[in-house]
Amino acid sequence: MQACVPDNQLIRLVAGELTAAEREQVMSHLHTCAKCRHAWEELRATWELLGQADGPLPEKDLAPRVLQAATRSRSRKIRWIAVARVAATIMLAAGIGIVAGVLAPPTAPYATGATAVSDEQMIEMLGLDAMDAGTDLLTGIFEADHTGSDMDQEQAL
Amino acid sequence: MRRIGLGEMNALALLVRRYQDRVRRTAYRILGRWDMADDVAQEAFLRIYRGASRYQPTAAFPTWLHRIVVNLCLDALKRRRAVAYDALESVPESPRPDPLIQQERVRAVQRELARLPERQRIAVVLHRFEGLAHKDIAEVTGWSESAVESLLVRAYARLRERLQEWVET
Repeated sequence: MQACVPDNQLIRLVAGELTAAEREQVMSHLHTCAKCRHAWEELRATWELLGQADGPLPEKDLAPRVLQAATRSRSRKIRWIAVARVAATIMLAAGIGIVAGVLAPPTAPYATGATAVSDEQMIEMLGLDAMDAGTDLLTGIFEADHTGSDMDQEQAL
Repeated sequence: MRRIGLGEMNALALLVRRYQDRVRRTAYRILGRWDMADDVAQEAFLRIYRGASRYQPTAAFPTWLHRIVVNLCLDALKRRRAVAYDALESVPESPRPDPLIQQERVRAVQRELARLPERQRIAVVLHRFEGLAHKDIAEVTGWSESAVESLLVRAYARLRERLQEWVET
């Protein structure tokens, strides 16, 4: 007599998963073993019963819901792509700016340029030479004013 | 899938209408609630839509679809650990009502199915209702074939024991 059929083989038998040869072998054992035959009959009955588990399927068409959600998801994706593009452009521009700043030749230092100009040149640049005459005039007025004051003091005495 | 990948909404609608009943039923059998099953089905089709452009037909489409649905159901179960089979209350009335005994039998089977541990239930749903072989269940769930075998043996033994009276009816 063959060894008893394990449960997993009975399940495969009921589900129709055994090959023809396997099936024949198991069935021949079931003919001779009441215990295995009983187990098989019970399993088969349970299998059939499970097939009755379904109530009616409630009518529903998911297509409109799915399409709406898919469209929303696509718009969101497009928006994100647009935002990402703008962000990438800004980053790129900033990057180019930084790189250009690093690679550009150094400009002439401001402070050293001042010493290169002579005092005469600076006076000429600022137009101070034109004011020399005015300065003399102011000095004359000051002196005249000062003299006048002395005369007043003498007269008072 | 190629047309969906190109953004053709008509192709997506066709696919949804072709598979929605199957997906909803599978999700319902695992989750036990139609509202959750519908949400899972919608999300499954959206994932297909989003992944369509990258889809490589390395696995059969139904296997891929099952994988998505099972993963979504597992996520949904995680979010809602205690799945009461409230759905039993909402088993819709058939247009031609079944005899009372038949309705009772349906309820009993659904109840016992719902009482199975999560992984056993998924294995039974894919095996008995979706007609997947052990190997395919292993592929869909990512569990080993021997784990699937063990889950099925325990699940059917339990169902056989719990549904004894209905089997004899």
